[in-house]
Amino acid sequence: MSSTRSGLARLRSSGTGALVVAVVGLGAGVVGADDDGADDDAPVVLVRRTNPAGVVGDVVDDDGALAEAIALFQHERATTILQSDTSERFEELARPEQLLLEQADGRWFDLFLDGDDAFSFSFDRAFGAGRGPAPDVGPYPPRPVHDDDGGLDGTSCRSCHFVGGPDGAGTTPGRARLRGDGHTTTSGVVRDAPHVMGLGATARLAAEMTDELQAALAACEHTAQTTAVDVACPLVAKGVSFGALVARPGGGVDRRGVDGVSSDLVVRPFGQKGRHADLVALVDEALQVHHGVQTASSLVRAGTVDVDDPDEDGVVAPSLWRDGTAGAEASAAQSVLLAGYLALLGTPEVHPPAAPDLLLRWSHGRTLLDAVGCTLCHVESLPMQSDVVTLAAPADGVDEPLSLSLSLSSAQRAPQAVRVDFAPGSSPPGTTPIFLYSDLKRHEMGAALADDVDETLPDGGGAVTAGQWLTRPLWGVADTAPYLHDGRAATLHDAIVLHGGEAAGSRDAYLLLDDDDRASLRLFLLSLSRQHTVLVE
Amino acid sequence: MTRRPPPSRFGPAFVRVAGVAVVVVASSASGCRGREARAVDGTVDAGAVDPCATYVGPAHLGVVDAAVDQATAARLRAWREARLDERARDELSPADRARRLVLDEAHIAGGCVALDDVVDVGRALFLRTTTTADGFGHGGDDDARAAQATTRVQRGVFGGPDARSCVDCHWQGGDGGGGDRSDNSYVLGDGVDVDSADARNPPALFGAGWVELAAREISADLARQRAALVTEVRTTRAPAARTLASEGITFGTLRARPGDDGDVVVDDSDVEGVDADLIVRPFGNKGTVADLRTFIGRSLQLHLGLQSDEWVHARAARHGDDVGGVDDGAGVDLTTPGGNDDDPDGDGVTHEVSAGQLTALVLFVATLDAPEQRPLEEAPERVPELFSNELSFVRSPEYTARFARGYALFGRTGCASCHLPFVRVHDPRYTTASLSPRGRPVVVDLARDGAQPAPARDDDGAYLLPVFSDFKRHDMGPALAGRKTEAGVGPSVWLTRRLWAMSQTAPYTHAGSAVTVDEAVALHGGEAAVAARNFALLDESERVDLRLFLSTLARAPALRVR
Repeated sequence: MSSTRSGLARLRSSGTGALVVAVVGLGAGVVGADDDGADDDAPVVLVRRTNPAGVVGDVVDDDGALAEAIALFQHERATTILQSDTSERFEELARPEQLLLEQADGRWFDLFLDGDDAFSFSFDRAFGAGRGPAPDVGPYPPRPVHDDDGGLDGTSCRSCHFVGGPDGAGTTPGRARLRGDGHTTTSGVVRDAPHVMGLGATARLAAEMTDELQAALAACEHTAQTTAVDVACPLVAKGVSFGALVARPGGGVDRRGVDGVSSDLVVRPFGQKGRHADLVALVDEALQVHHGVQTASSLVRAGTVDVDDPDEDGVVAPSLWRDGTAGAEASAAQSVLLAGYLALLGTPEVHPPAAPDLLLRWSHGRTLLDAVGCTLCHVESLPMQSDVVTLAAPADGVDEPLSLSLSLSSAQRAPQAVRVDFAPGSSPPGTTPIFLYSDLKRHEMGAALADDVDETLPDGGGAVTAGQWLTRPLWGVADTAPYLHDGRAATLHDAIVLHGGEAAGSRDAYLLLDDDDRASLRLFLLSLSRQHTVLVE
Repeated sequence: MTRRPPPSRFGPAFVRVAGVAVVVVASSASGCRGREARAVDGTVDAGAVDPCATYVGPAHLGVVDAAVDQATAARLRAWREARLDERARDELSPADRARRLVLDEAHIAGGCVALDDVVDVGRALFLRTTTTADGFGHGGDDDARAAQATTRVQRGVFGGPDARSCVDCHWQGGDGGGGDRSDNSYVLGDGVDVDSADARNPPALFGAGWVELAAREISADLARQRAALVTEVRTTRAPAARTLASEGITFGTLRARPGDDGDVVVDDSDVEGVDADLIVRPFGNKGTVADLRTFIGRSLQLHLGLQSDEWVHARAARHGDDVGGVDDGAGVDLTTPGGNDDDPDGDGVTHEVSAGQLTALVLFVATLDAPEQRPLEEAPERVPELFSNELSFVRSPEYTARFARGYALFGRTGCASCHLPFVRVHDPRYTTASLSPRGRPVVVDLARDGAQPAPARDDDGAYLLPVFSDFKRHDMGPALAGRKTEAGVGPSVWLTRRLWAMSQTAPYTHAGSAVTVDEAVALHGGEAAVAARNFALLDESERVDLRLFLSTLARAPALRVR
């Protein structure tokens, strides 16, 4: 047979190296159609290589761990279907006494595992998912456009946090449409789900910044009182300026000069607009607006502890969970568990390219990030003083308030070291640099990026104007496309170009770069990635 | 108190593997690059044009089996590492990405590529975030090009775009899986109002190649039965009727009578669950598409605004004019301003998906492993202590007994009459043929070369697909009714959902509204009303057994890398 077109024959005769033969030849990699030139419609039979990858890896783990992971995976999968009573299943994850025991014993790993289950837990109608008048049979239909009380989005937290890996970001179709009219997609505001890694460190940084600002306020008031004149004080936290305030001897404080933080000087690092300072409150609101699940702590916060079934879906939790609230569908312990899980998640990491030529471009890109002015807001790192994160559900007046304090490092969830030490020793002594690429401050980003309406904060922190957004931490950005608060940018280039307002100067500086430099800058951003995860599915 | 002692490693459902893999990038990546055309005897044939000379293959992951071992883990992690540098290079030169993802028909037809090459390109396309430079979206439409670029609610048969990549919605349980409720498409709407549209939950694509094979065999079987009936009537010149049946599935009655001038008139009014042409269409919630190639081409247009060359070609063949626009293949033409024959959506990008790329996508999906029916494995030695609930009886006589009882209940309630447990495939060779003049049909033996495990075989050598579907359409009653009629299929009529991989494909039903088995069953009405009522009458212990049985419908566990 004169099979000149046969890949197999060609490869064997090509003499271009034993490796090719070894990889392809073994499995008769390709068998082409007989090449008589006569029958061009003859089918091509595609065959796979028996040894597809000439890849050698180190031994990553022992097979026992894999077997264990498989067994656990199958077990979980089966349990999900097997146990119809979702309430009971969820309850097993989070009993208050269990959380407190785990805290007392330092068994953070157990808490993490339960939190991981809770994060991928699917809420059904019997659990309390959905709100308003119930359908005659079956579950509530999905409600992708929210009304004032929320919608019915994914079935679990994981539904919208999976891009790039577990606990990752959301997709284009999965974006939430908050505070709309319930059915038209042009109503409401669009939000792309961010990844949820490193939130413990973020919460800790914000809390420290809040402390710093509050201390500055107190000092300023004290000075005003002792000197009996108006005193203007700059507000700076972790090197980030939040404007200034003027304290008056009579006790009044002029906060008009406060910039980038609510006038109560609480740094709120969660939510695209800087909406929450507290992970438990974040969890409570997410369960409410995305799933229609009311937690006890959210009812306490809303002051509706006495209302039976506030979402009128006919579901309230067994009295065991209610924690002094009448209409809760999930307990405060469950909120704290999920918040604890988020706090215990690892941080993203900087993952420079391996090839030397790329590495060169990468380090050039990092210089450009500075030169262009991106790092004015996307501050490379903030120093973290303590790694203790406190998660507390508000007191309902009946039970003891549930509160957990966890140390990220003693829970072995300390922020992962960056693979490259950018500036050894540059952080203040006793602090850990957290490479999150944000100043945790709000900035005016221009009309093009603005919402239609201002956003009122749920905890009395006032409102955030339509064009203001919290500087998005860029850590992990490489695996979170689409970008920006509403996911309108499919590429990093688009995301940069869409910056306006206070970032207009940096954007223009980026646009003044030549194509090579722009690419280098983006190449650096692509190294803001995360540890790879091998998982059993 | 049911507590688990701390396992030695992270995560119940996944292992976070520590350490950094040693990466040796596959040297086979460019198997054909730069070689001369040589005859078998090694002499250079100076006159021959080597179709493979221009072929540059991708780095390898290949067809991924559901293997769980260290080698696979290492391979996946190395692959992922290599992707990072590749992503960086793409950012430096976007044209590189486009080049890497090109798969020319000539290279496939020329035998330059192995199945792995094709599947790798297909996977890369499946995972690719499409940009306007790739042809994403539609031109001439300011709304579509406005800030959001995508629309949550599709506009009639025109579609979205409502996503940026295939994997945006097909991700659960691995690439090519199903989507969550939040990934729903809202189809046939007005572009704005969710309540004007029908919700569609993205289905899992596992085993889709096998499904197409099964449907083709059933269709061929039905065609033979019709031909036999026609022959009989032609011979006897007397009316006749026969029950259409294949694989134990009955499709109603086909009647025929002699016509006026020697013809035979076929009466399909009593045919059930399949179109009058007796072609089983297993894709789409309403069972409207017969093959993956058409289905994927259509999905690219509907969800991403990408028109494949074949799609453009088919459209031009239907219209034969230079009216711009896209259509639904049923004659409806929606003009996109600025569009023309080569660029129907007028976005300035032509050849958005080549025939070769479409083949790659088809083969990536077709070679995904078929889900199986797998009772829980015996737990490894150190695991049982972690389980403190009822599942610790795995592989015990009790487990077996309850599984058997669950299986029996599945039949006794009537679930199995539509969710038919097994359908056979006799010929595992999957064929996809491009419309490109340079292309050739491509054949892949799914049993040998598709991702493993392949379905089990029966005593006659046929492959047993545990699909749990009869490949038929049924009226499912008001609770499951949508708003729209699609391709002539009414609002409450749906193709029997395949239950295989059920434990990885929650939420259930076409809208993804049901989170649990009980919720899904409660929504069943119409032809399934009796079965649903039977299920409701079971006591909880019986339902647990039934669910225990259903929990064994799963894709084989595998390692994935993220």
